[in-house]
Amino acid sequence: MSARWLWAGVAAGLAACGPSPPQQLGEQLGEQLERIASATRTTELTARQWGDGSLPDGYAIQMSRIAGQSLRRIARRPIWQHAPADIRDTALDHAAASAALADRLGQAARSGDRAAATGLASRSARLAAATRRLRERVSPR
Amino acid sequence: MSSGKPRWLEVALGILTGIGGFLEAGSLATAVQAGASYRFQLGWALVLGAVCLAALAEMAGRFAAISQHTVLDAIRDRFGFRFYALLAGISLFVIYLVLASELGGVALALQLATGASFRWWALLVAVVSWLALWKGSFSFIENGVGVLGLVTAAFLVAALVLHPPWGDVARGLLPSLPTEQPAHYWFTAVSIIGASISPYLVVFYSSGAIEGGWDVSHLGINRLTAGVGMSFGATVALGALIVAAMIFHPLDLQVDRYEQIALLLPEVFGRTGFWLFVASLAIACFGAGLELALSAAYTVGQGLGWRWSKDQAPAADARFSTVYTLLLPLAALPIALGLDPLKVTLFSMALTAASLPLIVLPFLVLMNDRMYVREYGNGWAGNLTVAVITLLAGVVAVVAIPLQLLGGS
Repeated sequence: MSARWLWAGVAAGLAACGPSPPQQLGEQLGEQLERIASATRTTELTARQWGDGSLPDGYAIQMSRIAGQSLRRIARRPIWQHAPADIRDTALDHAAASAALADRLGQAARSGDRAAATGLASRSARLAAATRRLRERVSPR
Repeated sequence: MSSGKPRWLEVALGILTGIGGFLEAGSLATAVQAGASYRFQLGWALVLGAVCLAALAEMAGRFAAISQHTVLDAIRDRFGFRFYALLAGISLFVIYLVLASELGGVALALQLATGASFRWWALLVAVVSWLALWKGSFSFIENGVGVLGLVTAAFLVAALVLHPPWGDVARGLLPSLPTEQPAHYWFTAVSIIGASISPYLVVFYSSGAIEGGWDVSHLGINRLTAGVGMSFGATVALGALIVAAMIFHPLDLQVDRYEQIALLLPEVFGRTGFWLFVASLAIACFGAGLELALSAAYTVGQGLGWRWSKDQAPAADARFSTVYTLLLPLAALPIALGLDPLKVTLFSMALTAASLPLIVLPFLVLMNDRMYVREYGNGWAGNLTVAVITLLAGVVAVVAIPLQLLGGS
């Protein structure tokens, strides 16, 4: 019995020291936005290196599939239901646009169209930067 | 550690093995993740891990050379069978998880090379590892794979080519508190330490010393190979951390898949860099996998008083060979079922750190027992360094693992 009270006390103490619920939501949304930006950067780096011949086609195809799957998984997470509408819509737009870029990279790698890589890399870079700005707005560091 | 060679060759091979054998799935993944997330700030964890590992490897070699006992054999002798059984149970569980992560590393390298999913490669990798153990001698496993593992030095070369700000790198070698994501920071720190100080290396190293017929005359070689080999090995891991800090950190790129790590070396070496990474991952993980499977067999065989030696034909120590024969496919199973190799690696490294005090502290007692080590016991500095690092890693791991599992940042 006393152990249960002690545990409840510790849990309450930890909860009091931790962030408030809105702060917590902001941090969780920020984390998801970071993941979107990171997946987009992965596409950017893969496109750039594949474009200059540093990576084999097969690897570019694997990475584009991984980035696309990861972005779609992030977009399906229930956390977005709790986000303010404007943040949610923009974030999900970014995730969808990034997944589309990853898919385009996969198609280009399958057809050996290395000329498309530079454009895909620069569009991914711009999108990742925009997602980072949104992340700072949601949960400044 | 094999005998019958000129001394200079033993020293050279020992050092090369230390360097080539240092980097494996755990040390590579944790170093790259640390560099990507915290730039150079976690360099200190690598240094702590390397100092402790070099000290432990030296002690394990010295213990075996003087006492003519392996560490596990002596633990059963000194603390009784029940204590040995508890320790062996924990060690085998940790070895199982780490072995799964190493087999996953080789399977992933094959996926990168061929495009076929790592899940399809896992069982084949287990079979090839078993064949290498079944057919190969101890020195083939220790030296052959260690020397091939020198390919991992590509990370060190890449770090030098990238011209990092050396002042910042040096500052990272001093411990500092996290400015953000404290749970993740400490989880990564203990994972790095767990990846460096794997208790199975103590088992492997002392068994190797007995297999190689070491005695008092080998103490100098032991000190050199443990000190120089492990220090250079840690420098290679530091190279991986620096490369990730220079390439991934400015992009805010988080490493949540092994496949992403393949983007590091092409930035410096072009297409060759990609294949260097594939070779590094495959060879380093394959070598570590062989050492782990053997360590499991040593753990069981030495504790239960079986005949054990890698240099005997499998028919001569059938029970010893049965252990690795069963363990390898079992460890491949989670990878074949699709468990993410990176997650398995990071979790098993943190668990290794948590189990460190249980295994290392009894070993320290042995290292101070004159019955075993005569006048060659530990000095106070060695005892204090290893005890403090091990306890710290254990305590931080016990706190950080649940926080990380609960999704804390």
